[in-house]
Amino acid sequence: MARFISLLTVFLTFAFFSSVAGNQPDTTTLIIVSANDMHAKIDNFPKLKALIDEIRQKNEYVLLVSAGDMFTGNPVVDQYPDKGFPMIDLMNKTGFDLGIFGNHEFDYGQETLKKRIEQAAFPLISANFKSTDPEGIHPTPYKVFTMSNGLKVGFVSVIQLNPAGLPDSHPSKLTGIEFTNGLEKIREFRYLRDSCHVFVGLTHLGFEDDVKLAEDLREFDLILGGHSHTTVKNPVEYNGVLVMQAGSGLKNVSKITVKLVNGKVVSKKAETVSVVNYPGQDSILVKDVERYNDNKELNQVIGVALSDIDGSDELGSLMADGITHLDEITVAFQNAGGIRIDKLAQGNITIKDMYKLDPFGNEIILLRMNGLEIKSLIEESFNREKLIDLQVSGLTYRVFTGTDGKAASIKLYLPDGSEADDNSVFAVGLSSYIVSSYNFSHRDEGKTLYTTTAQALINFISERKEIDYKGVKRAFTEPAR
Amino acid sequence: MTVYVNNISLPVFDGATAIDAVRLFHTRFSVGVSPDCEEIYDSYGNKVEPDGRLLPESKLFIKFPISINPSDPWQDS
Repeated sequence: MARFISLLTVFLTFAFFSSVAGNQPDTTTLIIVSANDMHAKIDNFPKLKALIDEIRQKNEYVLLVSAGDMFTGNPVVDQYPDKGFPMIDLMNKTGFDLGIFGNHEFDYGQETLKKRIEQAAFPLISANFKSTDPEGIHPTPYKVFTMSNGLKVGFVSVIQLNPAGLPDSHPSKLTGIEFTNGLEKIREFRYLRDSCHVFVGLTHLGFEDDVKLAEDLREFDLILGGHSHTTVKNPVEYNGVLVMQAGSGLKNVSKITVKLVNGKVVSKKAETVSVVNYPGQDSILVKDVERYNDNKELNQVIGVALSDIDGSDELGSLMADGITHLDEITVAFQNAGGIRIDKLAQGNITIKDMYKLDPFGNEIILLRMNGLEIKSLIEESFNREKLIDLQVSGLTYRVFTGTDGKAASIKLYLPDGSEADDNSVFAVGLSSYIVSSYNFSHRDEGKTLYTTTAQALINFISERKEIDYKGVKRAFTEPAR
Repeated sequence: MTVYVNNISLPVFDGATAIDAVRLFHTRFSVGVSPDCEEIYDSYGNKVEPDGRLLPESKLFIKFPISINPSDPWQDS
């Protein structure tokens, strides 16, 4: 009897602990790290790699993703002979798992983009565009990762469209591609919620539209976004959806910790983690970045100056000619403050020279302006210092000064020497700096052409090959009679 | 398109960035300090980088050291 009781006790004890062990919840921690709007800034990749390696050492389930705009913003990458190559190379070496298309992914042209897609060791997804050409770009709309424990993490992506129905890139880069409204299109994929443990919107819409998306689709657990270069310091859930973005230029990343119990999300925690301040760095990537930054690409010769190009008249006229080289522009202005060197010496002109001359990255804005409005711009600029400020292409002008030294009247002259009519309308190209910082009349609000003044100048000189601006002068001043 | 800086509507060119809107705001109200030094925030209290693209109706906030002159000196054409 005693033996029976002791056997029964052993059996019951074993059965109890087995049942407890069988009912222990399955707890999983998933880490998602998102970098958005890196814009070809490669210097922090060694730190990012070290940061990700540390996270991967401490956590079993980690995904590293990009929320768009990998390209455009660093001549080392943008002017590389195979444009964008260094960026994808470093992203591959860092171990990105997924990327999406931002508006700047189209900047190098579709053929180069196809090469970058081919180069990437990670997929690039987007749900709201496709090429009309069967050989064109046809991204898959979503990606579901199945982790080693069976955890399913689904990502769907859409790209921002501007009021013209296109992403913010030059329209010439987007020919043959059909875009549909992202906020509407993404609704078609809400069914993925049922087949994923964690469902993520990886978007390039801008923070305000990400919040709208969260308020519309609570199926998402989180939305990791880009485009507006927003740095979220205090993460907040909107309609139960965590919305994050990490600034730009790979200074920070978003790190999301999702805890699941028995496949259900029980907590989400988001933080903005500094990459630039991370103490470690990957030694192999340090060497890779140094190699890319060695600037052989920037030393490319793009043309020859047949004589010194000296002073604001000559340099400013050259820069303005770079703007009117664009098909859309007939008249352009360049402000004196934007001319950052005193002389371009006779001889070879390199890409580096152009970025020394024009380092600001200002985009070209197209405004339709009549003669009166152009005069208001010239008057405002002249009266700041009572000196010629704006150099010009496509016109010449003369400022007649009053006894106070300010502009009393202005005349504009067409290339044939005739005076321009006040009511004639011109397609004027100005830097974004001039449009925002000068107080002048313009009915047309304008639109960006998504090309920088520096890039336009590089293109102009590359096509012309030889340039000579000796004695060029297009802006004059004299006392009014 | 129209965006808002400190709840004041501003017409800006399509594709404008945060710094473009802030510069325009400074130009319009003759703030007299460099707009390029401003920290820019969205309506959720998040910091916005100067080169962040704006959407129509975007709302930005900056510190504004002087009171706004209610009569707008800029005559829109």
